Amino acid sequence: MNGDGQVVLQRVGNTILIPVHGPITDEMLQALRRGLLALLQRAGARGVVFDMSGVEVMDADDFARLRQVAISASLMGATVMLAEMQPGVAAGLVLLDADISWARSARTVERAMEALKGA
Amino acid sequence: MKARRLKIESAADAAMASVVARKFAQLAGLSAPSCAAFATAVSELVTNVVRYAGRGWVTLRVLEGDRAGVEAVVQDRGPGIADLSQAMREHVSTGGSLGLGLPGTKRLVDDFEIRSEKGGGTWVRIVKYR
Repeated sequence: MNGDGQVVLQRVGNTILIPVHGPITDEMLQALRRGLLALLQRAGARGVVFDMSGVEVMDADDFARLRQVAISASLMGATVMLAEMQPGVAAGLVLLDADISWARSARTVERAMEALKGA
Repeated sequence: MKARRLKIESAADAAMASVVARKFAQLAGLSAPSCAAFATAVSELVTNVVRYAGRGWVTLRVLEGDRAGVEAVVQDRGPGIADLSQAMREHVSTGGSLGLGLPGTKRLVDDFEIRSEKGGGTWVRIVKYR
């Protein structure tokens, strides 16, 4: 994804890898949702990994909107994981009391891919 | 570039403000997690401005001397907060996207001051020390 709201979706085997970069905007999330759901329908991938390493700031509202994208993907049968979240972002979301119950996460993209192999 | 005032009139302005806030925190010499915490707090506050007041400002400043750090003052001339003590109470709202998120924002920073009255706008000052 970049500042123009364009989204990069990489298909790796049965998994779709999405590098997320800040700042999170509505345009970006709309492009992401459209692209992801279309690709899920076309490719029938079973797993989706959001690579969060490029996100340096994420407030509770951004996280709630990302959750909507993740839930729409899971409604289409994909298992969604977050990977490589930065420590400050993780700590911030907890302090903000953000709803993190939906998120499965892994320290690295590789581990997330590994976990999704059986999905 | 030790102080900067940014207009907040849209979600894009709010996103930009959080990026600039992070840059100021870095400039002030804060640790990476503290930079993220400060920028996240600014993001929460300016998102409230867009959502509830429509427009406002944020002023970012690097603090030097004994208590070095970074400061943000976020203000608007919106409807204000009728019951400030209720808005500052924990778990007034849950689920992340509802409510002002003020208790969470306060936890992210070292100093948190708020002034608001119904019809009189809102003024919030936050500081994260180095």
